[in-house]
Amino acid sequence: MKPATQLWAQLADVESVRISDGQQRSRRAGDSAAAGTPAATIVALAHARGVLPLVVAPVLAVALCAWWLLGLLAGATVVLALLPPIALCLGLQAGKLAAEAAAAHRQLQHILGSVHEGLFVIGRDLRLGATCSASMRELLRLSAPAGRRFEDVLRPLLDDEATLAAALTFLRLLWNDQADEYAVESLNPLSQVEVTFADARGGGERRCMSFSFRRVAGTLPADDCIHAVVADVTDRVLLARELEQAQADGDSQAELLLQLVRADPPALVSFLDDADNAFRKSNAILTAPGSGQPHLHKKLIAVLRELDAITTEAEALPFASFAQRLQSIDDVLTGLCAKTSLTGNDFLPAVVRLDELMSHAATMRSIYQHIVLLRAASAALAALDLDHSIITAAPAVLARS
Amino acid sequence: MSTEFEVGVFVNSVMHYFETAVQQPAACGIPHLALRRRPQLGDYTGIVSIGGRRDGVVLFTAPRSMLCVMLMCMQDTDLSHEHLRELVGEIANTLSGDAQRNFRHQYSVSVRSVVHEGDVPLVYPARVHPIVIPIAWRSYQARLVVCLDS
Repeated sequence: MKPATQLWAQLADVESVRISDGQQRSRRAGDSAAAGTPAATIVALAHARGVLPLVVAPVLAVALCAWWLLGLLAGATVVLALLPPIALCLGLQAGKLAAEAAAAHRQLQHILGSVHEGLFVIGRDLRLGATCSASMRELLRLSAPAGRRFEDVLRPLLDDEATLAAALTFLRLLWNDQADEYAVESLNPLSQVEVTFADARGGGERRCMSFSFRRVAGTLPADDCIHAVVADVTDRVLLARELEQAQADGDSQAELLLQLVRADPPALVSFLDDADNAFRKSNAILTAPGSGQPHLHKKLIAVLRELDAITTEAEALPFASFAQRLQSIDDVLTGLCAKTSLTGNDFLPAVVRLDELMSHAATMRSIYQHIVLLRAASAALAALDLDHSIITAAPAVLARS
Repeated sequence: MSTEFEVGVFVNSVMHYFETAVQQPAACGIPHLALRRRPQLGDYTGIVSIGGRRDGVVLFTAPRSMLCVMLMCMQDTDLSHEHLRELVGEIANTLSGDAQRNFRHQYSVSVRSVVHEGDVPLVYPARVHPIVIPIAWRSYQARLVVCLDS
Protein backbone atom coordinates (compact mmCIF):
# COMPACT_ATOMS: atom_id res chain seq x y z
CA MET A 1 0.00 0.00 0.00
CA LYS A 2 2.94 2.29 0.58
CA PRO A 3 3.58 3.10 -3.12
CA ALA A 4 -0.11 3.83 -3.58
CA THR A 5 -0.11 6.16 -0.60
CA GLN A 6 2.91 7.92 -2.07
CA LEU A 7 1.07 8.09 -5.34
CA TRP A 8 -1.85 9.77 -3.62
CA ALA A 9 0.60 12.27 -2.13
CA GLN A 10 1.95 12.92 -5.64
CA LEU A 11 -1.57 13.36 -6.89
CA ALA A 12 -2.26 15.77 -4.03
CA ASP A 13 0.76 17.79 -5.20
CA VAL A 14 -0.60 17.89 -8.72
CA GLU A 15 -3.99 18.94 -7.37
CA SER A 16 -2.36 21.59 -5.21
CA VAL A 17 -0.70 23.01 -8.33
CA ARG A 18 -4.14 23.23 -9.87
CA ILE A 19 -5.66 24.71 -6.72
CA SER A 20 -2.89 27.28 -6.27
CA ASP A 21 -3.08 28.14 -9.96
CA GLY A 22 -6.79 28.68 -9.64
CA GLN A 23 -6.40 30.73 -6.52
CA GLN A 24 -3.69 32.85 -8.14
CA ARG A 25 -5.80 33.21 -11.22
CA SER A 26 -8.85 34.33 -9.31
CA ARG A 27 -6.78 36.64 -7.08
CA ARG A 28 -5.15 38.23 -10.13
CA ALA A 29 -8.50 38.42 -11.86
CA GLY A 30 -9.92 40.22 -8.85
CA ASP A 31 -6.98 42.65 -8.77
CA SER A 32 -7.25 43.39 -12.46
CA ALA A 33 -10.97 43.84 -12.25
CA ALA A 34 -10.42 46.26 -9.37
CA ALA A 35 -8.06 48.23 -11.61
CA GLY A 36 -11.01 48.50 -13.91
CA THR A 37 -9.13 48.16 -17.18
CA PRO A 38 -10.80 46.28 -20.01
CA ALA A 39 -7.57 44.37 -20.62
CA ALA A 40 -7.41 43.26 -17.03
CA THR A 41 -11.09 42.33 -17.20
CA ILE A 42 -10.40 40.20 -20.26
CA VAL A 43 -7.47 38.55 -18.51
CA ALA A 44 -9.68 37.92 -15.51
CA LEU A 45 -12.46 36.52 -17.65
CA ALA A 46 -10.05 34.45 -19.69
CA HIS A 47 -8.63 32.90 -16.51
CA ALA A 48 -11.99 32.51 -14.89
CA ARG A 49 -13.25 30.59 -17.91
CA GLY A 50 -9.99 28.74 -18.48
CA VAL A 51 -9.45 30.13 -22.00
CA LEU A 52 -6.17 29.10 -23.48
CA PRO A 53 -3.42 31.73 -23.62
CA LEU A 54 -3.22 31.47 -27.41
CA VAL A 55 -6.78 32.70 -27.65
CA VAL A 56 -6.31 35.37 -24.99
CA ALA A 57 -3.20 37.01 -26.42
CA PRO A 58 -4.66 38.52 -29.65
CA VAL A 59 -7.85 39.66 -27.93
CA LEU A 60 -5.80 41.22 -25.17
CA ALA A 61 -3.52 43.02 -27.62
CA VAL A 62 -6.40 44.50 -29.62
CA ALA A 63 -8.24 45.63 -26.47
CA LEU A 64 -5.10 47.20 -25.04
CA CYS A 65 -4.34 49.12 -28.19
CA ALA A 66 -7.87 50.44 -28.41
CA TRP A 67 -7.96 51.53 -24.80
CA TRP A 68 -4.46 53.01 -24.98
CA LEU A 69 -5.36 55.07 -28.04
CA LEU A 70 -8.54 56.23 -26.33
CA GLY A 71 -6.57 57.31 -23.21
CA LEU A 72 -3.90 58.93 -25.32
CA LEU A 73 -6.53 60.98 -27.04
CA ALA A 74 -8.01 61.89 -23.64
CA GLY A 75 -4.59 63.17 -22.47
CA ALA A 76 -3.49 60.71 -19.70
CA THR A 77 -0.23 60.04 -21.51
CA VAL A 78 2.14 59.09 -18.68
CA VAL A 79 -0.10 56.64 -16.92
CA LEU A 80 -1.24 55.10 -20.12
CA ALA A 81 2.29 54.75 -21.45
CA LEU A 82 3.06 52.34 -18.58
CA LEU A 83 -0.05 50.28 -18.92
CA PRO A 84 0.70 48.26 -22.08
CA PRO A 85 3.94 46.70 -20.81
CA ILE A 86 2.31 45.86 -17.42
CA ALA A 87 -0.66 44.29 -19.11
CA LEU A 88 1.55 42.34 -21.48
CA CYS A 89 3.62 41.00 -18.55
CA LEU A 90 0.44 39.98 -16.79
CA GLY A 91 -0.82 38.26 -19.92
CA LEU A 92 2.42 36.33 -20.42
CA GLN A 93 2.54 35.22 -16.79
CA ALA A 94 -1.07 34.15 -16.95
CA GLY A 95 -0.32 32.15 -20.07
CA LYS A 96 2.59 30.40 -18.36
CA LEU A 97 0.49 29.50 -15.35
CA ALA A 98 -2.30 28.22 -17.54
CA ALA A 99 0.19 26.02 -19.43
CA GLU A 100 1.54 24.68 -16.12
CA ALA A 101 -1.98 23.94 -14.93
CA ALA A 102 -2.76 22.15 -18.18
CA ALA A 103 0.45 20.08 -17.89
CA ALA A 104 -0.39 19.20 -14.28
CA HIS A 105 -3.89 18.19 -15.36
CA ARG A 106 -2.48 15.99 -18.14
CA GLN A 107 -0.07 14.41 -15.65
CA LEU A 108 -2.94 13.71 -13.27
CA GLN A 109 -4.98 12.11 -16.04
CA HIS A 110 -1.97 10.04 -17.09
CA ILE A 111 -1.40 8.79 -13.55
CA LEU A 112 -5.07 8.00 -13.04
CA GLY A 113 -5.18 6.19 -16.35
CA SER A 114 -2.07 4.07 -15.86
CA VAL A 115 -1.84 3.24 -12.14
CA HIS A 116 -2.54 -0.42 -11.26
CA GLU A 117 -4.23 0.31 -7.95
CA GLY A 118 -7.75 1.64 -7.87
CA LEU A 119 -7.62 5.20 -6.56
CA PHE A 120 -10.77 7.04 -5.63
CA VAL A 121 -12.11 9.72 -3.35
CA ILE A 122 -14.86 9.47 -0.75
CA GLY A 123 -16.70 12.57 0.38
CA ARG A 124 -18.16 13.41 3.79
CA ASP A 125 -21.52 11.98 2.68
CA LEU A 126 -19.68 8.68 1.95
CA ARG A 127 -20.26 9.03 -1.75
CA LEU A 128 -17.57 8.43 -4.34
CA GLY A 129 -16.03 11.47 -5.95
CA ALA A 130 -15.59 12.02 -9.67
CA THR A 131 -11.78 11.62 -9.47
CA CYS A 132 -10.82 7.98 -9.74
CA SER A 133 -8.30 5.84 -11.58
CA ALA A 134 -9.27 3.74 -14.57
CA SER A 135 -8.23 0.55 -12.78
CA MET A 136 -10.65 1.32 -9.94
CA ARG A 137 -13.56 0.87 -12.35
CA GLU A 138 -11.99 -2.37 -13.53
CA LEU A 139 -11.19 -3.71 -10.06
CA LEU A 140 -14.58 -2.96 -8.53
CA ARG A 141 -16.37 -3.51 -11.85
CA LEU A 142 -18.15 -0.16 -11.78
CA SER A 143 -19.04 1.71 -14.94
CA ALA A 144 -19.96 5.07 -13.39
CA PRO A 145 -18.66 5.35 -9.84
CA ALA A 146 -19.01 9.13 -9.44
CA GLY A 147 -21.68 10.07 -6.94
CA ARG A 148 -22.48 6.49 -5.89
CA ARG A 149 -22.76 5.70 -2.20
CA PHE A 150 -19.82 3.63 -1.02
CA GLU A 151 -22.28 1.48 0.89
CA ASP A 152 -24.12 0.60 -2.34
CA VAL A 153 -20.83 -0.29 -4.01
CA LEU A 154 -19.76 -2.59 -1.17
CA ARG A 155 -23.08 -4.25 -0.31
CA PRO A 156 -23.27 -6.66 -3.30
CA LEU A 157 -19.59 -7.57 -2.92
CA LEU A 158 -19.52 -8.49 0.75
CA ASP A 159 -20.92 -11.71 2.16
CA ASP A 160 -21.98 -10.41 5.51
CA GLU A 161 -23.66 -7.28 6.74
CA ALA A 162 -21.35 -7.11 9.74
CA THR A 163 -18.30 -6.28 7.61
CA LEU A 164 -20.29 -3.68 5.71
CA ALA A 165 -21.50 -2.06 8.93
CA ALA A 166 -17.95 -2.11 10.32
CA ALA A 167 -16.62 -0.49 7.13
CA LEU A 168 -19.17 2.32 7.28
CA THR A 169 -18.52 2.91 10.99
CA PHE A 170 -14.81 3.01 10.21
CA LEU A 171 -15.29 5.64 7.49
CA ARG A 172 -17.50 7.77 9.75
CA LEU A 173 -14.84 7.50 12.43
CA LEU A 174 -12.23 8.59 9.92
CA TRP A 175 -14.30 11.72 9.30
CA ASN A 176 -14.46 12.44 13.00
CA ASP A 177 -12.20 15.43 13.75
CA GLN A 178 -11.72 14.30 17.34
CA ALA A 179 -10.50 10.81 16.48
CA ASP A 180 -6.80 9.97 16.17
CA GLU A 181 -6.35 9.44 12.43
CA TYR A 182 -3.54 6.90 12.72
CA ALA A 183 -5.30 4.90 15.42
CA VAL A 184 -8.45 4.78 13.29
CA GLU A 185 -6.55 3.70 10.17
CA SER A 186 -5.27 0.64 12.01
CA LEU A 187 -8.89 -0.47 12.53
CA ASN A 188 -9.64 -0.73 8.82
CA PRO A 189 -11.98 -3.75 8.41
CA LEU A 190 -11.38 -3.79 4.65
CA SER A 191 -7.59 -4.07 4.80
CA GLN A 192 -8.02 -7.60 3.43
CA VAL A 193 -11.46 -8.72 2.51
CA GLU A 194 -12.97 -11.43 0.31
CA VAL A 195 -15.48 -10.13 -2.17
CA THR A 196 -17.78 -11.87 -4.63
CA PHE A 197 -18.53 -10.48 -8.06
CA ALA A 198 -21.85 -11.94 -9.15
CA ASP A 199 -22.14 -13.17 -12.73
CA ALA A 200 -25.15 -13.44 -14.98
CA ARG A 201 -25.61 -17.14 -14.29
CA GLY A 202 -26.13 -16.70 -10.57
CA GLY A 203 -22.62 -17.77 -9.64
CA GLY A 204 -19.86 -15.52 -8.47
CA GLU A 205 -16.17 -14.89 -8.77
CA ARG A 206 -14.35 -14.58 -5.46
CA ARG A 207 -11.43 -12.22 -5.15
CA CYS A 208 -9.43 -10.85 -2.26
CA MET A 209 -9.24 -7.07 -2.10
CA SER A 210 -7.25 -4.74 0.03
CA PHE A 211 -8.64 -1.27 0.72
CA SER A 212 -6.76 1.50 2.47
CA PHE A 213 -8.12 4.89 3.42
CA ARG A 214 -6.57 8.17 4.45
CA ARG A 215 -8.32 11.37 5.31
CA VAL A 216 -6.83 14.36 3.53
CA ALA A 217 -7.47 17.96 4.55
CA GLY A 218 -8.06 20.40 1.69
CA THR A 219 -7.39 24.14 1.67
CA LEU A 220 -11.07 24.66 2.44
CA PRO A 221 -13.15 22.40 4.74
CA ALA A 222 -15.32 21.59 1.74
CA ASP A 223 -12.25 20.17 -0.03
CA ASP A 224 -11.62 17.56 2.73
CA CYS A 225 -11.94 14.03 1.47
CA ILE A 226 -10.86 10.46 2.08
CA HIS A 227 -8.33 9.13 -0.39
CA ALA A 228 -8.94 5.45 -0.92
CA VAL A 229 -6.78 2.82 -2.59
CA VAL A 230 -8.01 -0.62 -3.60
CA ALA A 231 -5.85 -3.47 -4.91
CA ASP A 232 -6.55 -7.05 -5.93
CA VAL A 233 -4.41 -9.20 -3.63
CA THR A 234 -5.95 -12.58 -4.50
CA ASP A 235 -2.73 -14.17 -5.74
CA ARG A 236 -0.80 -12.98 -2.70
CA VAL A 237 -3.45 -14.25 -0.29
CA LEU A 238 -3.67 -17.63 -2.03
CA LEU A 239 0.09 -18.00 -1.92
CA ALA A 240 0.13 -17.15 1.78
CA ARG A 241 -2.62 -19.70 2.42
CA GLU A 242 -0.75 -22.33 0.45
CA LEU A 243 2.41 -21.69 2.45
CA GLU A 244 0.42 -21.88 5.67
CA GLN A 245 -1.19 -25.12 4.52
CA ALA A 246 2.17 -26.58 3.51
CA GLN A 247 3.58 -25.69 6.90
CA ALA A 248 0.59 -27.18 8.68
CA ASP A 249 0.86 -30.32 6.53
CA GLY A 250 4.56 -30.58 7.36
CA ASP A 251 3.84 -30.29 11.08
CA SER A 252 1.01 -32.81 10.90
CA GLN A 253 3.19 -35.23 8.89
CA ALA A 254 5.87 -35.12 11.58
CA GLU A 255 3.21 -35.59 14.24
CA LEU A 256 1.66 -38.43 12.27
CA LEU A 257 5.04 -40.12 11.94
CA LEU A 258 5.50 -40.07 15.69
CA GLN A 259 1.99 -41.38 16.26
CA LEU A 260 2.57 -44.21 13.79
CA VAL A 261 5.88 -45.19 15.44
CA ARG A 262 4.13 -45.43 18.78
CA ALA A 263 1.01 -47.18 17.45
CA ASP A 264 0.16 -50.78 18.19
CA PRO A 265 0.84 -52.52 14.81
CA PRO A 266 -2.08 -55.00 14.70
CA ALA A 267 -4.58 -52.35 15.83
CA LEU A 268 -3.29 -49.88 13.26
CA VAL A 269 -3.40 -52.33 10.36
CA SER A 270 -6.88 -53.46 11.33
CA PHE A 271 -8.07 -49.83 11.56
CA LEU A 272 -6.62 -48.88 8.18
CA ASP A 273 -8.23 -51.93 6.57
CA ASP A 274 -11.59 -51.16 8.13
CA ALA A 275 -11.33 -47.50 7.09
CA ASP A 276 -10.47 -48.42 3.51
CA ASN A 277 -13.46 -50.79 3.35
CA ALA A 278 -15.78 -48.14 4.74
CA PHE A 279 -14.58 -45.53 2.24
CA ARG A 280 -14.96 -47.89 -0.69
CA LYS A 281 -18.44 -48.89 0.46
CA SER A 282 -19.41 -45.23 0.86
CA ASN A 283 -18.20 -44.49 -2.66
CA ALA A 284 -20.07 -47.51 -4.00
CA ILE A 285 -23.26 -46.25 -2.33
CA LEU A 286 -22.82 -42.89 -4.06
CA THR A 287 -22.13 -44.57 -7.41
CA ALA A 288 -25.29 -46.70 -7.29
CA PRO A 289 -28.14 -45.62 -9.60
CA GLY A 290 -31.03 -43.51 -8.36
CA SER A 291 -31.24 -39.75 -8.26
CA GLY A 292 -34.74 -39.10 -6.84
CA GLN A 293 -35.15 -37.41 -3.46
CA PRO A 294 -35.81 -40.69 -1.57
CA HIS A 295 -32.73 -42.24 -3.19
CA LEU A 296 -30.56 -39.26 -2.31
CA HIS A 297 -31.69 -39.28 1.34
CA LYS A 298 -31.25 -43.06 1.56
CA LYS A 299 -27.71 -42.78 0.16
CA LEU A 300 -26.89 -39.98 2.56
CA ILE A 301 -27.98 -42.00 5.59
CA ALA A 302 -26.12 -45.10 4.35
CA VAL A 303 -22.84 -43.17 3.88
CA LEU A 304 -23.22 -41.56 7.31
CA ARG A 305 -23.71 -45.00 8.86
CA GLU A 306 -20.60 -46.38 7.16
CA LEU A 307 -18.45 -43.49 8.30
CA ASP A 308 -19.86 -43.46 11.85
CA ALA A 309 -18.36 -46.87 12.54
CA ILE A 310 -14.93 -45.65 11.48
CA THR A 311 -15.29 -42.44 13.48
CA THR A 312 -15.85 -44.48 16.64
CA GLU A 313 -12.81 -46.62 15.87
CA ALA A 314 -10.64 -43.57 15.06
CA GLU A 315 -11.53 -41.94 18.38
CA ALA A 316 -10.03 -44.93 20.17
CA LEU A 317 -6.72 -44.44 18.34
CA PRO A 318 -4.43 -41.45 18.77
CA PHE A 319 -4.71 -40.11 15.20
CA ALA A 320 -5.95 -36.55 15.53
CA SER A 321 -5.46 -35.70 11.84
CA PHE A 322 -7.59 -38.65 10.77
CA ALA A 323 -10.33 -37.91 13.31
CA GLN A 324 -10.34 -34.27 12.21
CA ARG A 325 -10.88 -35.21 8.57
CA LEU A 326 -13.62 -37.67 9.51
CA GLN A 327 -15.31 -34.98 11.56
CA SER A 328 -15.18 -32.62 8.59
CA ILE A 329 -16.97 -35.06 6.29
CA ASP A 330 -19.42 -35.93 9.07
CA ASP A 331 -20.28 -32.22 9.44
CA VAL A 332 -21.00 -31.93 5.72
CA LEU A 333 -23.23 -35.00 5.68
CA THR A 334 -25.07 -33.98 8.86
CA GLY A 335 -25.68 -30.58 7.26
CA LEU A 336 -27.19 -32.30 4.21
CA CYS A 337 -29.49 -34.37 6.44
CA ALA A 338 -31.16 -31.16 7.57
CA LYS A 339 -32.01 -30.21 3.98
CA THR A 340 -35.43 -31.17 2.70
CA SER A 341 -34.45 -31.05 -0.96
CA LEU A 342 -31.14 -32.46 -2.13
CA THR A 343 -29.33 -32.31 -5.44
CA GLY A 344 -26.35 -34.31 -6.64
CA ASN A 345 -24.21 -31.20 -6.46
CA ASP A 346 -24.80 -31.03 -2.68
CA PHE A 347 -22.70 -34.17 -2.32
CA LEU A 348 -19.65 -32.63 -3.96
CA PRO A 349 -18.03 -31.33 -0.72
CA ALA A 350 -18.52 -34.77 0.88
CA VAL A 351 -16.91 -36.53 -2.11
CA VAL A 352 -13.94 -34.15 -2.12
CA ARG A 353 -13.43 -34.77 1.61
CA LEU A 354 -13.80 -38.51 1.11
CA ASP A 355 -11.02 -38.32 -1.47
CA GLU A 356 -8.82 -36.38 0.96
CA LEU A 357 -9.53 -38.92 3.68
CA MET A 358 -8.59 -41.80 1.38
CA SER A 359 -5.36 -40.07 0.40
CA HIS A 360 -4.57 -39.50 4.07
CA ALA A 361 -5.23 -43.15 4.91
CA ALA A 362 -2.98 -44.17 2.00
CA THR A 363 -0.22 -41.89 3.31
CA MET A 364 -0.58 -43.42 6.78
CA ARG A 365 -0.33 -46.91 5.38
CA SER A 366 2.70 -46.00 3.28
CA ILE A 367 4.51 -44.42 6.26
CA TYR A 368 3.64 -47.40 8.43
CA GLN A 369 5.03 -49.81 5.82
CA HIS A 370 8.28 -47.85 5.81
CA ILE A 371 8.41 -48.03 9.59
CA VAL A 372 7.89 -51.81 9.45
CA LEU A 373 10.70 -52.16 6.89
CA LEU A 374 13.01 -50.00 9.01
CA ARG A 375 12.20 -52.03 12.09
CA ALA A 376 12.91 -55.28 10.22
CA ALA A 377 16.19 -53.91 8.88
CA SER A 378 17.19 -52.70 12.32
CA ALA A 379 16.37 -56.11 13.84
CA ALA A 380 18.41 -57.86 11.14
CA LEU A 381 21.39 -55.59 11.81
CA ALA A 382 21.11 -56.21 15.53
CA ALA A 383 21.07 -59.98 14.87
CA LEU A 384 24.16 -59.66 12.64
CA ASP A 385 25.98 -57.72 15.35
CA LEU A 386 25.09 -60.41 17.86
CA ASP A 387 26.38 -63.21 15.57
CA HIS A 388 29.58 -61.27 14.94
CA SER A 389 30.26 -60.79 18.66
CA ILE A 390 29.66 -64.53 19.29
CA ILE A 391 32.09 -65.49 16.50
CA THR A 392 34.82 -63.14 17.74
CA ALA A 393 34.30 -64.11 21.40
CA ALA A 394 34.32 -67.96 20.80
CA PRO A 395 38.05 -68.52 20.00
CA ALA A 396 39.11 -66.59 23.10
CA VAL A 397 36.83 -68.69 25.31
CA LEU A 398 38.14 -71.90 23.71
CA ALA A 399 41.77 -70.81 24.21
CA ARG A 400 41.16 -70.13 27.90
CA SER A 401 39.53 -73.54 28.37
CA MET B 1 -8.32 -22.49 -4.45
CA SER B 2 -9.85 -25.60 -2.88
CA THR B 3 -10.61 -28.68 -4.94
CA GLU B 4 -14.27 -28.24 -4.05
CA PHE B 5 -14.33 -24.74 -5.52
CA GLU B 6 -12.47 -25.82 -8.63
CA VAL B 7 -14.76 -28.78 -9.32
CA GLY B 8 -17.75 -26.51 -8.62
CA VAL B 9 -16.58 -24.10 -11.31
CA PHE B 10 -16.47 -26.91 -13.90
CA VAL B 11 -19.87 -28.29 -12.87
CA ASN B 12 -21.47 -24.83 -13.09
CA SER B 13 -19.82 -24.31 -16.45
CA VAL B 14 -21.40 -27.44 -17.94
CA MET B 15 -24.77 -26.69 -16.35
CA HIS B 16 -24.67 -23.19 -17.78
CA TYR B 17 -23.85 -24.53 -21.24
CA PHE B 18 -26.97 -26.69 -21.20
CA GLU B 19 -29.10 -23.80 -19.95
CA THR B 20 -27.90 -21.29 -22.52
CA ALA B 21 -26.63 -23.06 -25.62
CA VAL B 22 -28.96 -26.07 -25.55
CA GLN B 23 -31.69 -24.16 -23.71
CA GLN B 24 -32.69 -27.18 -21.68
CA PRO B 25 -31.18 -27.53 -18.22
CA ALA B 26 -29.28 -30.65 -17.23
CA ALA B 27 -29.20 -32.19 -13.75
CA CYS B 28 -26.09 -32.96 -11.79
CA GLY B 29 -26.01 -36.49 -10.42
CA ILE B 30 -24.20 -37.60 -7.27
CA PRO B 31 -20.46 -37.22 -7.71
CA HIS B 32 -18.26 -40.18 -6.86
CA LEU B 33 -14.66 -41.28 -7.10
CA ALA B 34 -13.26 -43.54 -9.80
CA LEU B 35 -11.36 -45.84 -7.43
CA ARG B 36 -10.55 -49.12 -9.08
CA ARG B 37 -10.26 -48.17 -12.71
CA ARG B 38 -10.25 -45.23 -15.04
CA PRO B 39 -13.62 -43.56 -15.62
CA GLN B 40 -15.63 -45.02 -18.44
CA LEU B 41 -15.78 -42.66 -21.42
CA GLY B 42 -18.61 -42.08 -23.89
CA ASP B 43 -18.44 -41.96 -27.68
CA TYR B 44 -17.12 -38.39 -27.79
CA THR B 45 -14.93 -36.69 -25.23
CA GLY B 46 -13.80 -33.11 -24.89
CA ILE B 47 -10.57 -32.82 -22.95
CA VAL B 48 -9.16 -29.86 -21.10
CA SER B 49 -5.56 -30.42 -20.05
CA ILE B 50 -4.51 -28.33 -17.11
CA GLY B 51 -1.02 -27.34 -16.10
CA GLY B 52 0.56 -24.79 -13.84
CA ARG B 53 -0.09 -24.87 -10.14
CA ARG B 54 -2.10 -28.06 -10.52
CA ASP B 55 -1.74 -30.69 -13.21
CA GLY B 56 -4.51 -32.83 -14.52
CA VAL B 57 -7.40 -33.20 -16.91
CA VAL B 58 -11.05 -32.25 -17.05
CA LEU B 59 -13.21 -34.28 -19.42
CA PHE B 60 -16.71 -33.98 -20.74
CA THR B 61 -17.76 -37.29 -22.23
CA ALA B 62 -21.11 -38.09 -23.80
CA PRO B 63 -22.77 -40.74 -25.97
CA ARG B 64 -23.33 -40.02 -29.64
CA SER B 65 -27.13 -40.13 -29.29
CA MET B 66 -27.11 -37.41 -26.66
CA LEU B 67 -24.92 -35.11 -28.73
CA CYS B 68 -27.20 -35.61 -31.76
CA VAL B 69 -30.26 -34.57 -29.74
CA MET B 70 -28.34 -31.63 -28.33
CA LEU B 71 -27.54 -30.45 -31.86
CA MET B 72 -31.17 -30.84 -32.87
CA CYS B 73 -32.20 -28.73 -29.87
CA MET B 74 -29.77 -26.12 -31.11
CA GLN B 75 -31.59 -26.12 -34.50
CA ASP B 76 -28.65 -27.80 -36.17
CA THR B 77 -29.37 -30.52 -38.68
CA ASP B 78 -25.79 -31.45 -39.47
CA LEU B 79 -25.21 -34.55 -37.35
CA SER B 80 -21.96 -35.54 -38.99
CA HIS B 81 -19.07 -37.05 -37.12
CA GLU B 82 -17.03 -33.85 -37.43
CA HIS B 83 -19.89 -31.73 -36.18
CA LEU B 84 -20.40 -33.94 -33.12
CA ARG B 85 -16.73 -33.74 -32.44
CA GLU B 86 -16.90 -29.96 -32.69
CA LEU B 87 -19.75 -29.93 -30.20
CA VAL B 88 -17.75 -31.69 -27.44
CA GLY B 89 -14.84 -29.46 -28.36
CA GLU B 90 -17.07 -26.43 -27.82
CA ILE B 91 -18.13 -27.71 -24.39
CA ALA B 92 -14.46 -28.28 -23.53
CA ASN B 93 -13.74 -24.73 -24.70
CA THR B 94 -16.44 -23.43 -22.38
CA LEU B 95 -14.85 -25.35 -19.49
CA SER B 96 -11.46 -23.99 -20.42
CA GLY B 97 -12.73 -20.41 -20.67
CA ASP B 98 -14.36 -20.62 -17.25
CA ALA B 99 -11.20 -22.14 -15.78
CA GLN B 100 -9.10 -19.31 -17.17
CA ARG B 101 -11.52 -16.68 -15.96
CA ASN B 102 -11.75 -18.09 -12.45
CA PHE B 103 -8.20 -19.25 -11.90
CA ARG B 104 -6.49 -16.51 -13.94
CA HIS B 105 -2.75 -16.99 -14.00
CA GLN B 106 -2.71 -20.17 -11.93
CA TYR B 107 -3.57 -22.53 -14.76
CA SER B 108 -2.40 -23.04 -18.28
CA VAL B 109 -5.13 -24.72 -20.25
CA SER B 110 -5.29 -26.55 -23.58
CA VAL B 111 -8.30 -28.13 -25.27
CA ARG B 112 -8.72 -31.24 -27.40
CA SER B 113 -11.65 -33.31 -28.53
CA VAL B 114 -11.40 -37.01 -29.19
CA VAL B 115 -13.73 -39.64 -30.49
CA HIS B 116 -12.45 -42.75 -28.79
CA GLU B 117 -10.30 -43.13 -25.75
CA GLY B 118 -7.70 -44.97 -27.77
CA ASP B 119 -7.31 -42.09 -30.23
CA VAL B 120 -5.29 -40.00 -27.84
CA PRO B 121 -3.78 -41.58 -24.75
CA LEU B 122 -5.25 -39.92 -21.68
CA VAL B 123 -2.76 -39.29 -18.93
CA TYR B 124 -4.26 -38.96 -15.47
CA PRO B 125 -2.08 -37.66 -12.63
CA ALA B 126 -0.61 -40.50 -10.58
CA ARG B 127 -2.13 -41.43 -7.21
CA VAL B 128 -5.17 -39.21 -7.74
CA HIS B 129 -8.74 -40.46 -7.84
CA PRO B 130 -10.73 -38.81 -10.63
CA ILE B 131 -14.02 -37.27 -9.46
CA VAL B 132 -16.86 -38.33 -11.73
CA ILE B 133 -19.96 -36.14 -11.92
CA PRO B 134 -22.87 -37.69 -13.82
CA ILE B 135 -24.75 -35.18 -15.96
CA ALA B 136 -28.33 -36.21 -16.66
CA TRP B 137 -30.01 -34.53 -19.59
CA ARG B 138 -33.40 -35.74 -20.80
CA SER B 139 -32.97 -39.51 -20.81
CA TYR B 140 -29.24 -39.38 -21.53
CA GLN B 141 -26.21 -39.55 -19.29
CA ALA B 142 -22.98 -37.68 -19.85
CA ARG B 143 -20.07 -37.39 -17.43
CA LEU B 144 -17.82 -34.69 -16.26
CA VAL B 145 -14.53 -36.05 -14.96
CA VAL B 146 -12.19 -33.86 -12.95
CA CYS B 147 -8.78 -35.24 -12.09
CA LEU B 148 -6.35 -32.70 -10.62
CA ASP B 149 -3.35 -33.47 -8.49
CA SER B 150 -3.12 -31.85 -5.08
